[in-house]
Amino acid sequence: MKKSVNQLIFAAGVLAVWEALALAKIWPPYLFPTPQGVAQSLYDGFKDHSLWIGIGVSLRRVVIGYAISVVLGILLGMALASNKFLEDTLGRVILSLQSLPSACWVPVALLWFGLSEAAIIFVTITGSLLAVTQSTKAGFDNVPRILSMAGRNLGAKGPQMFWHVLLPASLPYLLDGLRQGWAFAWRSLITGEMIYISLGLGQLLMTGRDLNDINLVVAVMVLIAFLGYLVDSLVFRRLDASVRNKWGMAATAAS
Amino acid sequence: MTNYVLDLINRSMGGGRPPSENDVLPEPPKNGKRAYVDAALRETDRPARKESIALSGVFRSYANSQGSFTPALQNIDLEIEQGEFVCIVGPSGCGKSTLLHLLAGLDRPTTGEITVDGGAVKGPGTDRILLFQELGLFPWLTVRQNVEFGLKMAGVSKNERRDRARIFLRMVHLSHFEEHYIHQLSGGMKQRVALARSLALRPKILLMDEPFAALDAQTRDMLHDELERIWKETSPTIVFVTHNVREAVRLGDRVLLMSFRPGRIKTQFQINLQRPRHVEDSDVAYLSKEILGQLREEIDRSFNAEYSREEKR
Repeated sequence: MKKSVNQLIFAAGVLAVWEALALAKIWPPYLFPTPQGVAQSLYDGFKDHSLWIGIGVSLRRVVIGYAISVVLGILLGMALASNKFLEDTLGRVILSLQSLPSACWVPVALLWFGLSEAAIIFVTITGSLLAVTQSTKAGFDNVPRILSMAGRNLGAKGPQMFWHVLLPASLPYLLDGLRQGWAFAWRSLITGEMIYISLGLGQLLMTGRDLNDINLVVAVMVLIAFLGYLVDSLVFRRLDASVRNKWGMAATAAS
Repeated sequence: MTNYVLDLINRSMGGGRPPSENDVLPEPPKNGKRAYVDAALRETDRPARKESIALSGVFRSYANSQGSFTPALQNIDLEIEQGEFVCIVGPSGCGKSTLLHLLAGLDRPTTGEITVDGGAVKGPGTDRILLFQELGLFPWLTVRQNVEFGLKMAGVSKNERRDRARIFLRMVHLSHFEEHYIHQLSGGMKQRVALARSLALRPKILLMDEPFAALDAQTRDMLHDELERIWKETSPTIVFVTHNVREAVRLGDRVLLMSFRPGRIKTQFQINLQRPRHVEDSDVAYLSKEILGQLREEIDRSFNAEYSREEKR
């Protein structure tokens, strides 16, 4: 209760400062957005369906890209965790690739896939794949030895070990990576959507730039941040809470 | 008095020196317990039971950081009968846990052979279940799902799994905690879940690695009673590792004393005290004292080894 009151007060404060700055006209109005202007852009956008279409198209892409990242990332992470040779070779390559921002992959995507849906999804995957891979590897590396011994002792073999012992035992780590991967997928998607007339939220940002409409730009930014937050709290925070509850781990500060 | 009892123990093991006239006969133990102890250590006409576990010439050594090998177990020859309750005591680092891991098939001997019911041990098998000191309960499963785990791996149907889990949860008095998660239980309860999880597979051999070491005395007493009852009801062969000599005498048909690194079986004691026994029983205490005397020597050796290593640094 106290938390939501605090959050309300904070939001009101931010809006007040924002409005005051806008009224003070320190910067020209075509550079500095106003709360009303952003609200108007959001209203117009939803009314003419351009934002709805943007949200739909972007969500579809991020879900496809993220799903591919999760499957590939878990497979790759397992391979790295179970094979010393791969860890010493491919593992190092992956670590160094992680420092590349997804914008670096845009030229590659364009050369390989042209101006296409596949290019955007490729860029999305480059953002989230490595985060999922790393956390899967960390999760499998950190499965307590006693749990895998207990599993073998009680008759678990091969795939049973994977599904019933290793995977659930690494879930706390894995979940962190899945959550981070989701956030990264969102970011990379927006980068990818700026490539061309793609109908997504990223393209709406570029439209705002082209029309010199700072209010539209900020409106789309607010929307992107909100969608990311919504999925995080509806899906990942709940999963996290349920794992922590079962395992008896302390609740995170966020939940 | 010490000589007298040791002599009795040795005789009951079929070894040791024959009694001579020079032996000073000891004072009988207080409370008139002597006759009882005497009887307890006498060879009894136990029915010959089938051999369950046999180890012959088992060595196990581990590579250490200096690049050489540290022997953990040396030349273990041991036979355990079906349904026998064998306790192993020894100082820390004597290879007791290693021995259990070898029996469970979670580790392999460097040389030597281990057979169970005549067949060589090649890996883990659900006829031999090890109850780990750290338990290894699965935190993502409920109490009942933990107990069902082995059955699920064996492909037992859902309903049968549930029924069997319930039987064993009732046996360890945890029926009301079926749907709890592991972290919601006390130490003694976790211990009982691990016991039920092991028993649910109806193993022929139950290997227990200091299972009650971390518990308070009351809980331990209660679990001793429960374990003894379950052993009588389901009659598995039990190999029970502990550093608590009284516990070993309280529970075991036989107590093996292991020496400090490399682990060898130093002495065996046949415990013929009548069951049910109690840790506070004076005859349990009396026998424990004798075994403890020998255990102390090994503990001293282990301390000396630690100190000399520290001095070298």
